[in-house]
Amino acid sequence: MISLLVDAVLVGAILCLASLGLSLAYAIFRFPNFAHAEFLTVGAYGAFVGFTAAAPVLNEPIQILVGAAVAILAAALIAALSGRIVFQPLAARGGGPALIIAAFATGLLIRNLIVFLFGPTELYVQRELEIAENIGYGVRLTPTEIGILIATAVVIYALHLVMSRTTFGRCLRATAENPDLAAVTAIPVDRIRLGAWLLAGFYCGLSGLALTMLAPIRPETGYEYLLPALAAVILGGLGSIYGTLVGAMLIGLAEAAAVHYGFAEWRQVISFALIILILMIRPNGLMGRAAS
Amino acid sequence: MREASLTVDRLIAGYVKGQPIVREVSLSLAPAEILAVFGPNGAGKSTLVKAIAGVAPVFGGAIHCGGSDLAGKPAHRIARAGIGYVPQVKNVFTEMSVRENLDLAIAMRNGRGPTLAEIYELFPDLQEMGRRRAGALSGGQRQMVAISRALLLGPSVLILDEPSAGLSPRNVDLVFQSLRQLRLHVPILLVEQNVKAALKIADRALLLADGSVRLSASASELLDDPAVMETFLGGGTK
Repeated sequence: MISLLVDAVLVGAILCLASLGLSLAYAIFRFPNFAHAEFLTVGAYGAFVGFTAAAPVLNEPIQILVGAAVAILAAALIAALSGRIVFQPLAARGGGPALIIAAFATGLLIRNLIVFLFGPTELYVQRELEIAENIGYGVRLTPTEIGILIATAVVIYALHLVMSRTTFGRCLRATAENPDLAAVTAIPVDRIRLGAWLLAGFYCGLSGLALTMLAPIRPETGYEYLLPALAAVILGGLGSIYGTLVGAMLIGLAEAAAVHYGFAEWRQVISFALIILILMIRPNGLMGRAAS
Repeated sequence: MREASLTVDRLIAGYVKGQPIVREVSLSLAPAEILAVFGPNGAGKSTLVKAIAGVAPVFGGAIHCGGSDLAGKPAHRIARAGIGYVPQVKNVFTEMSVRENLDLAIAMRNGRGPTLAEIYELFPDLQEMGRRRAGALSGGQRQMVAISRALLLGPSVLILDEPSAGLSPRNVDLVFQSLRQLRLHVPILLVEQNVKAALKIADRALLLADGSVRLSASASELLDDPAVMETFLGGGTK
């Protein structure tokens, strides 16, 4: 049972990192940013480039740090550029379906750019073979998995601190709720929105690093996480950062339970059945509030 | 003559270019003055104050509050230049606590402004509701938070868009009572449907119709002239 919970937390942690940026973008711009999938992919390829470039001269922990730095920079840059050039101008003109179509188009553009630069085949970082160790109660985890769990806990707590204790976090929450009122409260709304894109990119970079450390990456790597990430955001309550955390963990639990009890091929079906069930009871998600 | 705190000169504003809602409106607000703006629904009252605050597009004219022309500038710059604005609806951050609403204004202000203690003197009830979610407050309590949020920015001018809308008679009295006190510190541009109550605290009044100023007079003149009240403010003389 403990082993199942740890598996659930691990799946949920990766999903959580992948979903947080999506949730932030929804909170600020009120649209599902389908290009988020490609921000994840850019993070993953950024991690690959950083890790591989550092490989000849640095040891593995430092390579991971270099990979993280490049992943975060690349994902934050692409998120901020997409936000500033495509999404913010469209949102200023009323948004609506144009934003959703633009998000698909931006995602396709980025994915094709990745294929052009890196090719369509799988890439993987050259690492020493890791052996899962028993950490007690029959739970076996590799050092990478332990690292992902710790890093996820740290960055989620850091996000909580940023949102609740800092002026930037309060400005972000204010802008998400009511941009006009935020503006007349002297909040530079455009700068805060740019900050939101950078923060979303930061989480995509970390998520991309985790994906690169765990498995080979492809131009579709991020896209494969889009649906579960959207599900986590919807399940938690659209735009609710804390709800996204709960949603990701619940989907992680459902998927881990499916695998644990021998229904691995049904894991996504079980996850989405759970989502439908919860949304029937709470249409605004677990921590979402009805629009007033 | 005292120098005006706010001067609006031939302001043209609206939401669609070529279809202005506010048509060449001029007004000025002197220190410690309350200027009331009345008019029927659709007259352009809210659009006028939104345009001054920077949340509705400006197509022409000038707005001066202290230094340079603020017309068409981003709303956050206008707020920092000294124009405090309290919208009619959605005027507090409902997901934040009362204290967070107030702290946010303190964090964003440009220079000096009142302290929280001074705000609590004006609205004593606020101190006890600091941890409550602003969205859970009554209409009157929200209005107090909204006015306090605007005041904490340290404005040179306060603009209120229908502060009595949707409030109980007791809360309307409380709000107008607080405006009487506030005028000593900051001049107020007041858009209001509750004409009689507003005229009792205002110095001057403007009547807006079809986006233009139709009448400008002292509040006492309007209050004392039943014919004017009937002709221009007929249905609004509550």
